[in-house]
Amino acid sequence: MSAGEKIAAEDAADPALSYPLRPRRTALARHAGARPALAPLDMAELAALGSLPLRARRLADAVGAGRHRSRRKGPSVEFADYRDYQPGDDLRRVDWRLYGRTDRVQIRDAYEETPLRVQLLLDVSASMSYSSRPGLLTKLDLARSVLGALALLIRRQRDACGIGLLTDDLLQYLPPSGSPGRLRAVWGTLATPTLGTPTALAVALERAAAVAPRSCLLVIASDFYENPSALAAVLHRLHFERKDALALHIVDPAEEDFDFTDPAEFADAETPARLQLDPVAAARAYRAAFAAHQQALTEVFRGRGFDYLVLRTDASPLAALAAYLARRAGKA
Amino acid sequence: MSMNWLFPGFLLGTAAIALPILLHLLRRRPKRTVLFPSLRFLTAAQPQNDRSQRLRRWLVLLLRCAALALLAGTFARPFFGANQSGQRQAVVVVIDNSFSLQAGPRWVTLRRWAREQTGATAPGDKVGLLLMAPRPTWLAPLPTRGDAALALLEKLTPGWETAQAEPALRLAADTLAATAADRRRIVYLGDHQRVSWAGCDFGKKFPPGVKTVFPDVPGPMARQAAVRPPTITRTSTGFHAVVPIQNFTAAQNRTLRVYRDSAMVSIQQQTVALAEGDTQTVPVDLPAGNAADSAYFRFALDEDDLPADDQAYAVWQTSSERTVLLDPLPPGSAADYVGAALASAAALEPAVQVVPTPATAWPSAAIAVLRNDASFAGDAARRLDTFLHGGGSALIFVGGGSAQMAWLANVARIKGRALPTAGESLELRDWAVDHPLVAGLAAHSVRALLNWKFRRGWALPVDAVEPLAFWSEHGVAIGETSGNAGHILVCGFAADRRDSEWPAREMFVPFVHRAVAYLLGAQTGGSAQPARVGESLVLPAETGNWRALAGPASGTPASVAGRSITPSAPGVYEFGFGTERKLFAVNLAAEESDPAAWSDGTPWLNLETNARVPRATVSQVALASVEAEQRAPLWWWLLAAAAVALIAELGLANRTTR
Repeated sequence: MSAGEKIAAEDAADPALSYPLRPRRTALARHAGARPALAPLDMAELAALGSLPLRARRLADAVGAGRHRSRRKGPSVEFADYRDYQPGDDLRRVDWRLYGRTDRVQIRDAYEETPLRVQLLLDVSASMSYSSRPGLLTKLDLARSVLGALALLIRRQRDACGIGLLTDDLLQYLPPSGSPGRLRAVWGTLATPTLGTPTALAVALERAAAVAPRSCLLVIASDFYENPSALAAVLHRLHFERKDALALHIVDPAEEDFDFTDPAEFADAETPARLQLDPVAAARAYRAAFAAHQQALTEVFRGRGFDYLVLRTDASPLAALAAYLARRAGKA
Repeated sequence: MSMNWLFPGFLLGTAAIALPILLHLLRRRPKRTVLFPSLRFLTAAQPQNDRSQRLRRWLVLLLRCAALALLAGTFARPFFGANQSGQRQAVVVVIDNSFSLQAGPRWVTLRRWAREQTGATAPGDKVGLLLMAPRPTWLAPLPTRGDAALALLEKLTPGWETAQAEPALRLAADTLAATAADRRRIVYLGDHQRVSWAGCDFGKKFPPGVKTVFPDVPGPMARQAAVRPPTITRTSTGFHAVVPIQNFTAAQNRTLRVYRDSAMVSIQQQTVALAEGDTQTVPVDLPAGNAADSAYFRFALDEDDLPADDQAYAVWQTSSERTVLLDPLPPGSAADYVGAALASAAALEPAVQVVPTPATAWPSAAIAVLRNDASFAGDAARRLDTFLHGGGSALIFVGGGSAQMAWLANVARIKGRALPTAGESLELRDWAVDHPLVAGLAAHSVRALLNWKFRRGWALPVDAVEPLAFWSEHGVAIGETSGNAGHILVCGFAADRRDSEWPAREMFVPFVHRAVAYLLGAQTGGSAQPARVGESLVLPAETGNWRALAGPASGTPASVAGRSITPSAPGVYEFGFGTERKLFAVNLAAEESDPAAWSDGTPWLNLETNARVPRATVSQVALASVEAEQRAPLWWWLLAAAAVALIAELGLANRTTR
């Protein structure tokens, strides 16, 4: 039984991980190693799926990802390349069949599979519980779904996964682990409700960076209401400690489009601040300021070689999963 | 030029401006609370947003108000100019300017009363002044501004003519009926003299919508007598004048004074005892003085309540008898009607001596009356040509003779054309009433010009003569020419009862007499029948100097006149032409002196009608304003401005807090 088939068998035995939908790709296809095309995803359908495991599995299946290959080569079963024999090489790795045909002593290299440690970080501040209209996922729900799906993918790839909750501090923390029960632990932590605290993302990230293992991938799902310059110091530390990061900026459509029409009193979700406003008149300046903030975040993350993705709650988040897989492929 | 509105009622639509103002004041304040993740990007834009929003809200309000006002203005259809349909009132003051208004304070009192009735004039009011005498004449046409018209009225003084109320009132009523105004009124400034209302058809109502205001009948005069035009003749010892004096009030003694020429001292004075309602003829013998060929006299009574008619004028001037050459009676004629007419009028001025056309040369100072065909043939024709070339004048009755027609065609260049005859069907019409001859005939009644019917007639070419009357069919019936052939008056008919009953009618003698008098260049009046104010005088020359020697007009500069003139004031006038001068005595009309007021109630109050003004009339009247508005359709501009305001409002309101 291959590793993929083993994971599938484990998932099938666990009723909490049963597939609500038929898997789009077979384990054999995933073993083929081809990059799957992203299937379209109906966000309304995703929102209708009530629980986090269901949403996570739906997303993981939609991205169609299988096992990945490591770029490190070693004594494995999967052929990678031939090279000339060097003194000191293990004679067991010589391809004697090739020697018989060509009279050349060649060492047969194979891909070596190594586990990746992924630390998922979820912003659970009060602003994340925002949804601009009924039927639309809140930012927190989308972040939970995406991180849950990532945890499932990580589990399937036999990588190590951890979880941390961020508010104005590091609220909860589970270090990355490849144990079979870690997936459920991560999902359980993701289901923690928000505490209504204001955001202090830089501080919380600082704490997470301090406790996260070296050479891990930090996947940060947040609405990033933080000063980009404050984040820059933390990201500089992550870069220095050879940690990788993938920023998922969760955005409600109203935050980005600001398409309100009626004058109203706008209340801050995290502070008691209120503001009487004509949204039509203020829209232009708001959009410009929000776009500038996003641009600053992009520059801060990508300046350190990190990825930065914007996920709208009304759009498919599969791009985030694909970005993770790409990141995983580069780190393995 | 002021702006007016065709439909000013639509301007009430500007009240709709209150709606956007109300909405602005009561505009909805935001009561809804919207939870938002973070206000950090909203607070930065808020102060600028507040300022610009406040400005936009006021701008939107302004645009909405402007759009509504402009739309109201568009529907009200503005135009520049006087509003023809929105005047508050139109008043015509019908003014009896006859000389009876000179009596006492009558004129001042009535003028003040008329001003009070006209009332204070507003900018939209129009006042017209219509004079009654001698015929209805606009002193100030109706579209005159009220204050300007009243200023004219203040300067006006009564004239010297006699007046008839009805023609002026009818003209004023018709004019008002065709004028768009909220109120149309006639204010009658008159003394209700019986003579001014005589003949008025009180049963014929004024057009609907025209109201009238009449003053009370003034009280009777205590002393009123008038001097009638005197006649004056030369005697061996001097002059003998006959002065009629008519008393209109109770018995009274009056002093009659006679002034000669321009002297201020009377040459004769006598007291006249006048019985009540009596007309007394006062003979006055006057000394010859040092007069040579002319003299004029002023006969004046001491002043009474109406001083205007207390004076009369008479002129004596030597005049040689004029000769009328009458040709032989045409063969076949039963009677010499022309000869009889001339004989019967011989006693009238100017005195004429009727002689048969001589077999020798005709005197050029004479008038030839020709009706015989033989007068246009042979030696007679040559004498006629010489006579006309020498300055003579001729009255020719066309009889259709070959010699006469040939002479008219070849010498006078008048090609007469015989008209088709069918019984007594030819009739004269279209009289030139302004011609002195015709004006004299029609002076008393235009009926004198009716029923001139003939069985035979000859049409004269229009391009060869100056027409005095036309045939009912076509062509000129009576024409005048002053070409190379001399001064000729041609009648396209015969003075013979074989062609018409006209020679036996009452107008035949006056026509012959006035025609001869006209050709003689003398007026038919003279000292025996002095001219009246307002009547046309025939002057003996084409041009000359006209000036007043006595009377109210004396002292005014001399003017150039000719042919005819109509004096507007009594007095003695001199017409100088060449080396000659002729004097005219002009006196007042007798009937106007009678102060008797209308005593049969106040029938003039019934001239008004309470009938409603027809809607069609109102529409037609408003047409003037419509035309004025359509000449410059400003509403297009207002509509365009309203559209621009609305578009700007829509664009701005979408970006403005509601």
